[in-house]
Amino acid sequence: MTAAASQNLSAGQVVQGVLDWAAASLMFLLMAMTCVDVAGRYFFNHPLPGGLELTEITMVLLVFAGLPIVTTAREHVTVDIVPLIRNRWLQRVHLLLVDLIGVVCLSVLAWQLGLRSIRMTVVGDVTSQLRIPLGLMVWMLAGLSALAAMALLMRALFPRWSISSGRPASDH
Amino acid sequence: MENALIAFAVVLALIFARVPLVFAMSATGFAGLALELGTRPALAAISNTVIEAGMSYSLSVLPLFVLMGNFATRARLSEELYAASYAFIGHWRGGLASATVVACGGFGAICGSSIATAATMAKVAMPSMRRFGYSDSLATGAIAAGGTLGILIPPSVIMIIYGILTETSIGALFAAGLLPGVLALACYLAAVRLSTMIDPKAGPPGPRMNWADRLKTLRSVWGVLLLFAIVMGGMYGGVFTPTEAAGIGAGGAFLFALARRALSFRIAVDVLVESARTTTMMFAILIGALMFATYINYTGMPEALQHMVKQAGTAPLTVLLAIIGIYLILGCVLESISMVLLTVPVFFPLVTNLGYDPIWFGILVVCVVEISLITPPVGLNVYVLNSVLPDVSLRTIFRGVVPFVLGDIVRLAVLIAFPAVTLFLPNLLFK
Repeated sequence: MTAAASQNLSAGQVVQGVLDWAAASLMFLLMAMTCVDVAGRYFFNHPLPGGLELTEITMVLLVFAGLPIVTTAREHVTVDIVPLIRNRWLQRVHLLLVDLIGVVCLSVLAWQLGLRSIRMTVVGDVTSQLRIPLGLMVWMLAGLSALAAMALLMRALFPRWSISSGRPASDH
Repeated sequence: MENALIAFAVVLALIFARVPLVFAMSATGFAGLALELGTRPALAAISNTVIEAGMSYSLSVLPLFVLMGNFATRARLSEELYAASYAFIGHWRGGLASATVVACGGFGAICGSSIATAATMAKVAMPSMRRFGYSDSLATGAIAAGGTLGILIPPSVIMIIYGILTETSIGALFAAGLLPGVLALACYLAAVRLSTMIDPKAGPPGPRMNWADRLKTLRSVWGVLLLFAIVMGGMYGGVFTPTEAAGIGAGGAFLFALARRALSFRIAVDVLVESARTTTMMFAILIGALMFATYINYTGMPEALQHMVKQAGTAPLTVLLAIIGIYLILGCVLESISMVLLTVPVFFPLVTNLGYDPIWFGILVVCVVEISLITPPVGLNVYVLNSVLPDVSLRTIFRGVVPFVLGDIVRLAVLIAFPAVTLFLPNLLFK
């Protein structure tokens, strides 16, 4: 985020900045909406219209907004009590395989969510109260998963490449 | 049953090969479903699981409690808690370690994560224990163990996950954690006593304070008390749902941090980003585990286990103790949330089928998770302390934790022998 101040921004840094801001705003929104909903209900006898579905949509977007960064920063929970193989070459192969499993999982997820969003758009699924189009939302989830898959693939193939500007690529 | 066991073996193998838990669990679950049902339904299960878990209103309680804990940390509420408990019991033998444990318990009342509690208290309590010449092992042991109270004293991330997984009331689970939390505090204080009896130099007493000063420190913990009272009181009074309580708690902690000028715009954004990332991580393992659990349930393993137990005529208590034994072993190698997610879908039906109370079992699960957080080789709290205090070795911290683990085992035994300790409050409030 501090990178925004510097002059030369790589595409990755811009993406990271945008995603961080999105995640932070969604997080704040989630908190604010709940508070407004409760206050509205008890003090003004008027809850936030569509509060339930807004909360649900905010949350799922929040979860996926963090996916590309958490994935490429290798912040997903991993158990590392078994020591790595000593041989550096085998170690590379091992870590490459581990990353590729992640890439495959995320790609399948993106593909399935993409299909689903097309189905939802065709049927015209909307939320019951505010009539928010669900197809569009799932399309965003698919896009974020695809972005996470691509970024992880880049990390796997070029260990020095990093989407995150703030944190240097750490090798653990 | 065999298939399920193979699946468990595959997941563990992948996890130990350093595949992130999300991918290990969801890939195995998917492969299992694809083999049993065909690729099409297995693929459909992916987007279903993700959307259902991601868009569940009841799960929004998780990010909100995480946020509340993070704002409370920034608001420096932990410092006042420590000052107050120090004023009251700092003059005991090992008093600073005891004060640390009590302050951890207090912070656990506004923070639902053990790791956050340990990390926060380390920064507050360690400097003064160093100043008074406390041994590193007693000091860090008290922080690591005290930190585990974060998930026993409500709010609690683990209780929320258990509640959602088993459709047990989160409010009742929170209420059930209170008395065991007090019991745990007592056990930890006894553990400090024990350590200082063995080695009096490890924990010299601090200065005694007069009552005027004590009451003054007490006045400054009103922030913590108020937050706790609003969140928990609102929930038990039936004013809030857990999600609403969490939202109000997060909002309250945010206002506190603002009022104390502990938040610049940048820091606030940092807290939000950090909480959002934690949310992504937690949901990732949650979704992975749900995928895996879908397959395990499909294999009929939970029913098969129940049938086996019934056939063998094993006494319920033996089964329960065996399960706890399995947890203690698993806890040595697995991370806490994933351990709960992987095992509860299998053990919960078995335990409730034997006639045990679901809320009581939930608290026992939380207790074994707490033990897993401080036992080697992967006691997460110990690692967190090691990263906050790089000059204290892992070995020293693990050594310091030993008396507290003994305390944990005593507590576990009491909770098993007297379910009333756990169930008194939830029965009073929710029935």
